[in-house]
Amino acid sequence: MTVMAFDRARLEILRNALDAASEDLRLIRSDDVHAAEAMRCVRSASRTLDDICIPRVHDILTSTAMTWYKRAGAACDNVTEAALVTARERRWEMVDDPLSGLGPPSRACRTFDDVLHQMRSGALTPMSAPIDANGRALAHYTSLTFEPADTPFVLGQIDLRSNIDKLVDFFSDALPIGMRKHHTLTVYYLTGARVVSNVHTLTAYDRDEGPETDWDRGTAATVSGYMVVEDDSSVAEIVLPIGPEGSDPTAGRRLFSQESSGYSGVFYPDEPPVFEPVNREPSFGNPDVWTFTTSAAPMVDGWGTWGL
Amino acid sequence: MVQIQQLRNSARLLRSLSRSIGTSRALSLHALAGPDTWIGPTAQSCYEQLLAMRRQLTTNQLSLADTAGRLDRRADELEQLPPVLKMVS
Repeated sequence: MTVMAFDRARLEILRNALDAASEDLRLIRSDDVHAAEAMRCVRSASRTLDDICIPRVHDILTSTAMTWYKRAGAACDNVTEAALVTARERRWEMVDDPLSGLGPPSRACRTFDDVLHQMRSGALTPMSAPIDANGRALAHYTSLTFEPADTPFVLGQIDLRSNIDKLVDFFSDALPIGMRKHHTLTVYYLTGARVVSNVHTLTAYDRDEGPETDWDRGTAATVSGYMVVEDDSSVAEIVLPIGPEGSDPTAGRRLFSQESSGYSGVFYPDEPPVFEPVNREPSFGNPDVWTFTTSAAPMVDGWGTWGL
Repeated sequence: MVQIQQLRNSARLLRSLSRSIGTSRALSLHALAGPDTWIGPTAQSCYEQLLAMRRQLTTNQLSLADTAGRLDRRADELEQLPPVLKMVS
């Protein structure tokens, strides 16, 4: 059992601040379509406070199971132990850490940077890739569809655009021919998401009905872990400048505009998933669903490519 | 004209939302949750959760302001159009 130490006065300040912050987030509301992503983030933040942080702080402040300093020797590492020595010198209170009683710390505790670092080092193991038909007609391939049980928690996002793309985007505001690119990498944490593996046959298919699917061979599993997704979209446009010379250069009539978008990603499960047979037709309209194949050009509109 | 007004309204709402997020006390929680307050796995986990939450809220705050700017620019564009083109767009 690992111990934790705390300064009661400061922890009570933190508890009050958590309550106040939770109230602030509850008051933030918007049903504007452009604010949908931000509102998802606000709700996710609110859940982090209400379901995780506030209960933990409350439990510690109300705990009566005080722990003697001698148990600090069971701390998880030298850094923690040294910190606990300092804590004792400050006469902080100590209790058994509630997280250590639940086994290893939650995988969801990884930060955005941790996930990227562990992806690169191979410490995180990706889910097995879908089977590729390798372009052979009538060959089988599989798709992986992820259906989050709840709004995915966004650990972080980075802009992958080159400096040139950013420059082109900047000048596109004022030039008649413009190209705007968005290229981001986002890491989500999914809890209890359903992943469905479907088997398809590589044939020409009806766009409305989707690809040919062998429903009897579908399997599904419940997984938690990190979804790493690269979104790539671009908009090319030609604008006819209007107004007198010297007027706002961003004013103009859009003559042509073409958009393209796609995504790719990999899922890193906390535990290897256990797939079981399922017989259910997938839906293709849920915006919170990712479907991946290994094909370089995804088989269906809205599907992404497995891999980064 | 209705479309222009809608764009302006939407931009104003997004800016207001961005300000609400920016002034939320959720953004400063991490400063109170560091090792000066508590030490241990629970403390570390909460601290990291708060940092991740702050990063995401800040990203969305900036994104909202950026979107509001784009909507305003679009409204400006429409206002500059000759009356005939305004009706078409």
